[in-house]
Amino acid sequence: MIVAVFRNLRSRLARTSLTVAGIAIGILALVVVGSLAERLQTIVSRSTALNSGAIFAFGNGRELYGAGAQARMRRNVEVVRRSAGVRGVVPEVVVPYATGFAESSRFGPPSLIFGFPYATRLVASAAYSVDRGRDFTASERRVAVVGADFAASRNARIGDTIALYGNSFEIVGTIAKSFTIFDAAVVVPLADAQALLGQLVPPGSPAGSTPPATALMVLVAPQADTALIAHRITLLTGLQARDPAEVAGGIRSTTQIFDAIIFGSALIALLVGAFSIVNTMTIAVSERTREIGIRKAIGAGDGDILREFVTEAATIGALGGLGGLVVATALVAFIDARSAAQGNLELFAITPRLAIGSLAFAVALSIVAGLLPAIRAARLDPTDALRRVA
Amino acid sequence: MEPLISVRDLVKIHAPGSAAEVRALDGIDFTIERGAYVAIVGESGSGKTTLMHVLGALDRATSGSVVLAGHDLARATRRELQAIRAKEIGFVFQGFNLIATLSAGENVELAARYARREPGRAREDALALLAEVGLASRVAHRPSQLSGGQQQRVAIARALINAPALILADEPTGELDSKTAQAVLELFERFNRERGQTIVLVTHNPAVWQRCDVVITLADGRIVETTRRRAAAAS
Repeated sequence: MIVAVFRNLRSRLARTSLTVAGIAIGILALVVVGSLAERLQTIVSRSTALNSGAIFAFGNGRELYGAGAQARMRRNVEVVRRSAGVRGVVPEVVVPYATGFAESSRFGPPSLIFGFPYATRLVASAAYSVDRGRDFTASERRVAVVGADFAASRNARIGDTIALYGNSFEIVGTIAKSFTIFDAAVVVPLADAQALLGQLVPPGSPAGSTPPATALMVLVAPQADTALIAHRITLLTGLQARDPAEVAGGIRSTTQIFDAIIFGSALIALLVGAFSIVNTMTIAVSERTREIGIRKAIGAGDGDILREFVTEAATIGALGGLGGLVVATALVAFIDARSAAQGNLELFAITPRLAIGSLAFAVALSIVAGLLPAIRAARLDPTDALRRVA
Repeated sequence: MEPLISVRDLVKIHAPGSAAEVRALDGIDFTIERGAYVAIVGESGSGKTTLMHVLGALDRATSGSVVLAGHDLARATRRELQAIRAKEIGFVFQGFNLIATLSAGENVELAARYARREPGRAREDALALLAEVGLASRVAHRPSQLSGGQQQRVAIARALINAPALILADEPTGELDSKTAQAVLELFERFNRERGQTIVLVTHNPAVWQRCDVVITLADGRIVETTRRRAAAAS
């Protein structure tokens, strides 16, 4: 039957092509915005996973730096460590990789330098994993592992030397692509990061003006009330402690709104395509009234006619869906390649569920759109249809 | 023996109750035995085509009864009428009415598919029938690649594929030259003679109806004359 369907479609090539193109444009829009949402979803879920199980407490400049900064942060670490529900406190240093227009105009998460104590990476092993080269050891200095995007955009290889605030660091490994902030990061030993932080403090500042950490990773006991602990940390230290559940909820609601807007826009494009199917199939039924009468005269049942027209509509949907998917795949690959080459975030992810879902949706929508004309064809009275022949 | 077709007091009114109401058939009575070769003749508007549509289970009578091969067409459901058309009736039309996008072989097979026949067997039968009507070398040709006579022979093969009880042919030679028309009529006669196939031709062409066993003449929706030329196959 499918061969006959293709022949019928080919016999009205111009109209079929336009209808297929209409569906293809709709699917193109759906896949492109869908892949944007999928990428966003990946980033959100990875970032949420990264933040889960720990409370991150940050300070602003005034609290972190200046006279007594070192003593203040040490006291904060002790205060937090003694809080109920806290398993441990890990100091971290996070400083910008670069400042200036080139960095601030880049699309995607900022390039940051992270300094972790060696033990932290054992505790928070999910934070990043090294896929090429190796991680640095507890005793090493002036070594770095770099994120996948950082390495790709700067063509940095293992064994290369990079300059951080005028200091040379040897790249010993690269971090596996994770769609988290670590993709654009440079990770160095904590002591090195603390030294870099010291360089940020204005010359002539009193001794002890540089804190030993810019943030605290607070590890909490299982089942602990993270919201309560975060609130308590903020009250006791003045640092901004964020409840991971609250952060995740905030991100989720933002992405849901974003998803609704982009999928809504794509659906409108697809609905326009669906109307063109209704139009095409209605014209086809009208043009083929004679043929329907003949088919009924030689024994076709209502179901046979319905099946034939619905199969035609589904075929148009499948062709349009495939076309849209192929063009969308090429388009996002092109945009992503350009984006990555410029050191920006890869924007799109065409996942199997998005590809299969879009195709299935195109076919399903086409079937629904083709159903009404198909039912009209199936219910045609054979004598009326044959009389129109005469 | 029970007749193949039994028509009793058949009335067909088009657009009943409207200003365009037409009494197309009015009190038709006849029977047709199995194996008969019958012509229904009459002037244009006499009700020939309406009668063919009712006999062919394409249309329903307004009143009266039509029994075909044991099926009461007046009481049959829409689905039952479809099954009767698929299995008991083969149509041959004036304009050949082949499906333009299908080959000769596929056109013949299509009727078998609608009768829910096993595809492999249907293909074999279609090839055999096309060979029988002299078109073995034209199986893969589309209707547009065939002459009028060849198309009508494909249509005859299509009508025969399900070994129906009745072949209904509406002006089957209407669009053919006399020589080709002669060949098509000989084909009908051969299937009637050799297979005992019941054939009802609707025509106004004397050259056609003069070759039939029984001629039923209609005028203004009524039978005005029934002529038997050979064995009494209709009454």
